[in-house]
Amino acid sequence: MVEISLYVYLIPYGILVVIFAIYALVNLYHLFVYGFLSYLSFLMTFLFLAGAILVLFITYKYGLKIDWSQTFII
Amino acid sequence: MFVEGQIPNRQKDEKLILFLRRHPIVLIKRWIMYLILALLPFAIYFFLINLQPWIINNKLIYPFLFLLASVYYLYIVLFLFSAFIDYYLDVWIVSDQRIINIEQRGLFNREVAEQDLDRIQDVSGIQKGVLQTFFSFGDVHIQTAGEVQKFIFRQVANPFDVVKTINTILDKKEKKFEAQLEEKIKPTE
Repeated sequence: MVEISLYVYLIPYGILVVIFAIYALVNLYHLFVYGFLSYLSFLMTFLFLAGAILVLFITYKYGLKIDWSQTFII
Repeated sequence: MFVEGQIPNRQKDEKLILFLRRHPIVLIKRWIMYLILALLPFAIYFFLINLQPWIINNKLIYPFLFLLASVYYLYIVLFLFSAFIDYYLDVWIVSDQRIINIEQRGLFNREVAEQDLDRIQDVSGIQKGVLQTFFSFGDVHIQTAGEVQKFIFRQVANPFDVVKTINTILDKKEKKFEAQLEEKIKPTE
């Protein structure tokens, strides 16, 4: 039997967030290198960044209420 | 970065005639699909809270579902943005000298092709399906004599107007060429 804390959930979560960040950076790179300078591209970039920050902020806010140090036995 | 509504690598005296992208409904259709997918966790949540509340109250499962929902929404936001990029980076330009086809295929494939108007052999428009007929968009096929034999302006608004515009430019160019030729052939007095 092994005792594991809830922190292990954060490892795959972190990996998926890193993949998200890489994919997002590639998208932004494409937009800035090949895109056309316009208000629409700025607006969409702003909305994308705002949406991503909002999701991460909500995750952080509600994630604080969870006791990640709890353990479970497998 | 290029400037919206301008020809990339503009040649001397080149005038922009058409600057085309896919019809916005193509982007909106994809966005609606992702927004419907965004509602899915809410539906699952209400299902669980009403029928299987022990899952939500479980101290082991709840943190897992919480992080899963977080990642799910992050990727929904990302796919919404990717759909926009995919829409925004596909551009077709018609100038009084050439046609330019710029297409982004996936994340790492980009295709840029251009052809002189003189090399265009045939232009045709295709509109098929209820959505294309209702919102008036479709494909414009341009047959050329160049290396890239066929240019396709995909899902552009009013394809038949585009065909008409290109044909008008070609007619004008032909008449101008004939006039120049006559001028040269004309015997000098």
